[in-house]
Amino acid sequence: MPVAVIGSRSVGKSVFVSLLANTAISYGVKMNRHFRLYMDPQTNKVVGEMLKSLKNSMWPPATLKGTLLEYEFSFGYSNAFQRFLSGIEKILPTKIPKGELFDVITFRLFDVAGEDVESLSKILEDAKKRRISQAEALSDLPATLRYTLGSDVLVFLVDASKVTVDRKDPRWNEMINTDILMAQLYSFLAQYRSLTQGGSVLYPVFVLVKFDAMDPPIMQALGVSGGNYESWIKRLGEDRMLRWRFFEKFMSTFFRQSLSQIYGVVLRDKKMELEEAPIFVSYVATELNEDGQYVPKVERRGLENIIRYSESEYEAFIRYFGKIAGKISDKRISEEESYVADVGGAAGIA
Amino acid sequence: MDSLKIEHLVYAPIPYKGYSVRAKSRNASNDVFTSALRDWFIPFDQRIISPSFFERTVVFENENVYLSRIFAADKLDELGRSGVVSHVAQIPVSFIRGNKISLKMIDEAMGKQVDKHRVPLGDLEPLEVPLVEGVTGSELAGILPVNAASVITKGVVEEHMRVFVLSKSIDKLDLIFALTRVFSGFSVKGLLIASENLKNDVLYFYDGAVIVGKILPPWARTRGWKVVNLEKYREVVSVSDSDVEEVLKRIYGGT
Repeated sequence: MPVAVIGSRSVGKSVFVSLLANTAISYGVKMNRHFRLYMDPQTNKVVGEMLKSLKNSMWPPATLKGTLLEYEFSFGYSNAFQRFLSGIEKILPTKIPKGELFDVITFRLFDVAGEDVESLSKILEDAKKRRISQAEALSDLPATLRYTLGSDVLVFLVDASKVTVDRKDPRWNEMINTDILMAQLYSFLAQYRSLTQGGSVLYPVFVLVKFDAMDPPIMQALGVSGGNYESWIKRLGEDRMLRWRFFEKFMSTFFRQSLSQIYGVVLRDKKMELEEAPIFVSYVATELNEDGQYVPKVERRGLENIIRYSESEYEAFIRYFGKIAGKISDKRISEEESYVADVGGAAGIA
Repeated sequence: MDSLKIEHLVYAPIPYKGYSVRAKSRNASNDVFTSALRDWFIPFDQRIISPSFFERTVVFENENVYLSRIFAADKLDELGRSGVVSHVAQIPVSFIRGNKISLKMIDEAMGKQVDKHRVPLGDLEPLEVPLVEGVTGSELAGILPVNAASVITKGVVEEHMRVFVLSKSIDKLDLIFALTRVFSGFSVKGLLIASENLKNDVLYFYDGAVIVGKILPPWARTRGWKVVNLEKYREVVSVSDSDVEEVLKRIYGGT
């Protein structure tokens, strides 16, 4: 299942991928009866290198424009019945292979350069100037963007550090530009999928990143209690409605045009329901280094040096896919594909 | 004229902007370089880029040759992130055709102005490279035997094939420069010369490609590719009278 991470330059796409993998690694070890992780050798290497950067208090390298970093990994989820079978495995007359006890979702996760996402508006302007059709404009898209826009799961990263209420702040115009870019991206995505996807279902996910970098008065005004965002984030795991209410308030205050498109895309693509998307919050705690740059904070906990980040939210992200694993697992998809192939074969003979 | 001024630019991350033209000499045109380098679809896979990564590519486009030195460098943007730097020089193909300039000296001059620890931002002086003879015909024959050069150029110029040059013994940089000298004798456009580490999909942006390497990648075995193993071309064979061989004779000086 192709999954793409979308967001503007330096929003933290590579960091998101690294932390998702880091959480899956820990979760897979801690919860090995419920959840397993397999990464292909190349993904192991790249993820390992990116985590090495973070553990050394450095951000991962800037992703090259025009490059599609592809990671392949599988999440395996077991449901209550499968875990029951696993528990009584020893008394069963026939041995069930362990792999059969998990619903497996194989992700091909694409990390595109922020410059590629930002070039979308340039491509749209060019298409208008050259007076070419929508279909022609789509064929002009770089391969990286075509892969991204055609994915089954889209993870939209929204940068919380860019919001401000001060019009003199350099972030003010940047925030407005981000709103325009996101709104354009959502509407372009609906246009692209309505022309190319033939009715396939999209699973969108929103992640509010760099949550720690939001100005404290804004946090407070948005209802993050007591300025302690870490404990507030933990509450999100217990209160499902709190997530969406917060996201709606955040978006309607700072990225209203984008929110209107999140609601509006159904008018163009009836299967694209962005407002049903789950929301997660992400942060990596940072500290100033000797060059005056904010870098990832690494803490000593017992024998481990750990990156301090919103691990509970990444676990919630992994669990979300566990809930829909029954619908989208590789086994189910391959059964559906063989069913379609059988029907096609029968029609051919007739 | 005893030296040539060469326009050049650096494409790399810029703080608060991302990948863009970071530095350039006054007369280097962004549009011309961007078009020659196919909108900066940098031909290497990010997964192979490590701190020691260093590659060269050559592109032939409109009477110019674009020599790129591509490498990884640290602390390029506002977050102190590392990234990939492409330092590109625009060399008039006529100077290479006439063997009036040494590609190795251009490469060294580029290295002196831009290195991994000092990636400039803003204006650059043009590169000033002395006009001296490049590799001689016999030196060239030692790197790329004339009969192999004949097969490669016929493959690209006449048969419009992509060619993989396999050699375990010759340094890839010497081979890239030797091929550049050979192709300067022909009117080729949209030709890319690079090493085996490049991304396969980048090849589709160019009309022709000559890739050099020590290991034959799986994609070079597909249709439309010709493989030339240099180790098999060490014996001298007679030269026939086709156009390709006539040009090669001029370049190699009848070796």
